[in-house]
Order: sequence, then C-alpha cells, then structure tokens
Amino acid sequence: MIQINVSTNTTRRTVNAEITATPKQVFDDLGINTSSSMVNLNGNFLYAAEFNKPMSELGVEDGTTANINVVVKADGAAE
Amino acid sequence: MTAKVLRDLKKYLIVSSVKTADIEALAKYRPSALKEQDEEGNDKFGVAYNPGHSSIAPFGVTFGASTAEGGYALIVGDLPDEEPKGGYAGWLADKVGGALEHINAFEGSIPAAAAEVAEARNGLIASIVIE
Repeated sequence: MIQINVSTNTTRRTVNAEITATPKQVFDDLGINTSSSMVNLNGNFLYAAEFNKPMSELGVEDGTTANINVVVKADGAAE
Repeated sequence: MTAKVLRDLKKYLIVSSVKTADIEALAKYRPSALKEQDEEGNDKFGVAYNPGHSSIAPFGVTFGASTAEGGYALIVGDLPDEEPKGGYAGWLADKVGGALEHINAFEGSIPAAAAEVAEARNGLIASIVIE
C-alpha cells in the first residue's frame, strides 16, 4: 500500500492506494480531470501514456508516500 | 494477529485473524469499512488484500497472501540480511508498531461488516428472478 498526496489548483487530498494502482485510477476515484493539465509524480513530469502504468513502474516503492501535482495549463497570452 | 520470524528463510510472517475473503467482499461491496478517514475525507489508514504485494506502513497494511488453512490474511516480508542490534523481534516490532493499533481495530470490525455484506448479498440473490 502507498499513500498519495494529490494536489490540484483547487484541492489537496491524501489517499491510500495499492502499488499496482495507476495514476488514472487515482484520478478517476478522486474525480480529477487531467485534460489540459500538467501532471508530475514526485517531481517527475508524467506523460499521458504513463497514466495507465502501475505506480510500481513509475518509481514508487511499496509502503512509501508519493506526491502527485496536477496543474491546469492556463493560456499565457494576455490580450 | 500473530507474528513469526523465520530466520533460515530470512522472512517474517504476520498472520491476521481476518480472512482474505472478508477483505475482498468488503472491497467490492463496502470499501469504506476498510479505511479510516479524517473529517475532510483524507485516508488515515487502510487495509487491503493484493496477492503477491504484502506491505505494512504506518498508513496502511496490504496482505499479500492467505493461509492454506482457514484463508486468513497473511503478510510475508523480508528480514534484513544482518540481524539488527535489537534482534529480529525488536526490528519487526518497530516495523509493525505504527500500524498495530489500527490493525487491531480492523480485526474487530471487519468480520461483522463482512457478515452484514454477505447477508445483504444473499438477500439480493434470493430476490433476483430468473426466467
């Protein structure tokens, strides 16, 4: 079991998950929409293709705590 | 819950009084019975069964196996290569200590919750009409 601290622009939650869980399962359980967002796991950028990989394959060790940040990409150009 | 150190195999075992079948049933029908949360819905402690992936930490325990007799939930872990200064028993006590109070509480609540779920499921099955 791992503990994941999930932060978005608007919320912070701590959830437990299995080491075999994927980031997508965590996002779905928490109702987090990651389209138009940048996601990083323990400081490493996560590509969308990695959302379906188990945490064990993303460098997370069983029995530890991981941090996921979901940052919404905003339009930078001012009119 | 009982703990055992197998020095020759460099393994430790933690055997729960809870059956893996009960954990699986609750995971499917009443997952809230397998976790403690704070007022804001953050997980504080959890219990799970995930074959082949035993782990124990201050925030949760995953049983990775079950006993051949009775199907009781089992954690199988590795001992350190060298026996620690306080001995293997002291090392294991420190490893389990943070989770022990929570595990004891869940061992008290899981069987009753699983029995309720089983009764509700049986009632639902009995009500299903098959034509």
